[in-house]
Amino acid sequence: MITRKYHLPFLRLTILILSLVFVALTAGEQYEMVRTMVRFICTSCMGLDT
Amino acid sequence: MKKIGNLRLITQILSLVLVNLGFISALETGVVAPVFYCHGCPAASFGCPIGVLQNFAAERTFPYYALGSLGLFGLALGRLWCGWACPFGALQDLIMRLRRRKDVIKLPPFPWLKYLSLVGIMIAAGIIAETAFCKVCPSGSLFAAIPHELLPSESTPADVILFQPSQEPQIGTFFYVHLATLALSLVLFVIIGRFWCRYLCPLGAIFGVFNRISILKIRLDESRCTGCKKCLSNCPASFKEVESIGVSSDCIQCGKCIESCPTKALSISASLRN
Repeated sequence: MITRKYHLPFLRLTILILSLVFVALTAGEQYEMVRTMVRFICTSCMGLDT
Repeated sequence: MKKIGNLRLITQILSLVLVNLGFISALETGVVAPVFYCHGCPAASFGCPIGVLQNFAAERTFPYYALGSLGLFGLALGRLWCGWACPFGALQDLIMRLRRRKDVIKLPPFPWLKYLSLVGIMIAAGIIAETAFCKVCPSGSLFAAIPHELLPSESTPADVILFQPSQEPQIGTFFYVHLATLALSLVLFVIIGRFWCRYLCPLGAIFGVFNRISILKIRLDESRCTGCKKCLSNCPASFKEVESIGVSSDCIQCGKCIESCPTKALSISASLRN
């Protein structure tokens, strides 16, 4: 059983590992998808009609 | 002890510069920003986290990379990002600096409202398969819609790929909706301190969850606290209890409480244990 003393460090470690796994597994493909969003104009953000 | 306020102003300016380095093509990165800033801005160098999450929801793709990035940012600093780096938060601070403090309306906190905002935005994006919130986002109005109209209209390579000359996007109805939401937001910022951050910010909802577990945050040294509650007098989140400082999802970790504390019971510190 994880006592109250250890639950915060344990939670932090879990989130750290999960986040790192999420980023590491998809960094290449999804990073490029986000980069494309940044590079191309966002018509919704600018209130433009296409 | 205005040291924290001045330091925060410097980090806010630095953050604004950093998110606007995209005018250098190589610095248009795919990094998800830990602040509420529109990647539709002509000079954006980072992706807007809410815009990115909406795009993935619209494409029905699980946003592993964006959630992982926000997890790391949140774990490190929680809502310190909101108080110390967010350009939209900095705008609200600037407006508050121009106001006399006593004129500000102090509304009670409604922490659930920003979670409702986040869930509603993601469901809307998933259902209509479009970034619906971006069409009305006041940050987009300020950092994307208005700059795009003010800057000389020079087609970027991306424009050329996306649109034929006859199809070039024109100002539409939503441009005026953008202006209206920005005007309404500015009015609310004048009368209610940090209105957006406290009640509606979807990114604040995400980082708010991390406030309890973030490594760097405001911590209370109970042995020094005399219970005078002077720390609550300047709190932009209108907290009623000292215990809410640093851990409540509404706390933007601005440090005004630290400046007000006569016994130095509050401080920003890093700890892995508590």
